[in-house]
Amino acid sequence: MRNGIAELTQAYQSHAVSPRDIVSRHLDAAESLGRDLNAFTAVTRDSALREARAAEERYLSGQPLSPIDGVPVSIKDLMHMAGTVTGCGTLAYSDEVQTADSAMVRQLRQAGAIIIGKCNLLEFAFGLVHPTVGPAHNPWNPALTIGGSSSGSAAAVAAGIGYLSIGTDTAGSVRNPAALGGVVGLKPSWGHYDPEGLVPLSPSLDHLGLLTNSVSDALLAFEALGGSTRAAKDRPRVAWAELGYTRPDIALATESLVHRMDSEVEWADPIRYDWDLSNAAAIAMITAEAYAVHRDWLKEHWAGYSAGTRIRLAAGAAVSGEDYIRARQVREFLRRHWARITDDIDYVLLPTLPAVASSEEEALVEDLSSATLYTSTFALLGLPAISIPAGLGEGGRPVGLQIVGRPGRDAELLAFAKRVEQERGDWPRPPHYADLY
Amino acid sequence: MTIDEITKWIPEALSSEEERILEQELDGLAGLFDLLKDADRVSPLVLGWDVRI
Repeated sequence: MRNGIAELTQAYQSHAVSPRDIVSRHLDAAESLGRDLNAFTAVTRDSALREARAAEERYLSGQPLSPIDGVPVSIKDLMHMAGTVTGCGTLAYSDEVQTADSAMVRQLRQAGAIIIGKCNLLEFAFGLVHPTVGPAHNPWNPALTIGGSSSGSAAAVAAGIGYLSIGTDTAGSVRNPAALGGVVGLKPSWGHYDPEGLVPLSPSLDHLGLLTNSVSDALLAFEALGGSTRAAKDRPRVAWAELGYTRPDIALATESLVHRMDSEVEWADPIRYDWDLSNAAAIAMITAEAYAVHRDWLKEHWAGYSAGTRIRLAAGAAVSGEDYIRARQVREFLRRHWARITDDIDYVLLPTLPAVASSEEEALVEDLSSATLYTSTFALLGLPAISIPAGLGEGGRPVGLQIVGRPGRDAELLAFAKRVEQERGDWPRPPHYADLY
Repeated sequence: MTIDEITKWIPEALSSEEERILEQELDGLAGLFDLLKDADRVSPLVLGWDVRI
């Protein structure tokens, strides 16, 4: 079993290891294995070592700032960090060095976390790889996709480089790569983290989220970044979500894990929902808002975008005001409908994705609507949702179980997810893993 | 909006492959909006004017 954040900070407190030593190891790994996986767009060695020295002094004086003080972390290269360029996985964005931190970077710094680098992503978080930037590779098998759009974040954490990565999730972009990379991905309730300093994709649906190697680590990070902690309900009422597209290996891995919890939960009837309608509303809103965000940049920097991304963004011009309002009306209906049918249910369970990771070539031809069908609803409705590794499916590839909670009850969701994780037991390391501590 | 209306403001001429992708995207979007317009089948009462936007 790998060490988590708690074991690391205990070792800091007992002076068994030092933040400088640990951060230095993670920086080296980011520049070696991280480069092989194309997980990082930038490694911030100088600032990380400087901050590690400050963390070391805090531990020596017995005054760490938070449960993640001195912990190496990374951020998706979509949020501003002073002293770095925000790459956005494209050649179309500004190449100016940023002078101010985003709100999330400020929160990480206030908690004492050490940012070791910025992670690769799908171009502007919109679902395609810019050919010059290239895809992040899956540590379980570099020929496989790790999905996206927080692809580098999932690859880094899965490979043991950094204990936490901050991603963004607009239709599944934290949970999808977390599932394919065998890590934990939390998309909190809508508005939980301040998006200031984040390059937007669809401001009505953009969420900042956490990727870690365990729910225990996610809980500590959640707490350190301003979240509360809550105990899980003793015998929560749970329900499966019925979707018709799940491959048998995914169903087997997720159902067998959850049914090990039978004595600890009360089962309600499966949830039936119009997933296609909610996915359509999500994609319609994202397409319209992404076009509005990018309209002027497209005119000025057309050649800097990949061909696929710029065409898909330009297509958003076809969404009329009437169509956009219709999508928002449907969202409001769906929100009410969800609240009604889950009124007496604590957690809804479903696979994070209907299939395991495909090859990177196959992933290129998947369309957005099929990739987001299992995840977009919960971004659309702003519900907290977490993906945890459930088991291994076809070809020994990771399978994610998604657990959806009630709005604003993120801490309870994490506590329940931790119980499911404990029931699952140890999770194997991928073949491409940096055993750093 | 038609392909011609969209391509009018695009600063470069589209290749035939890009035009094909754009056409495909617009077809996909039209399908989504047909689905959204047909959403009243789910609940004609709730999808009326009382919906807060």
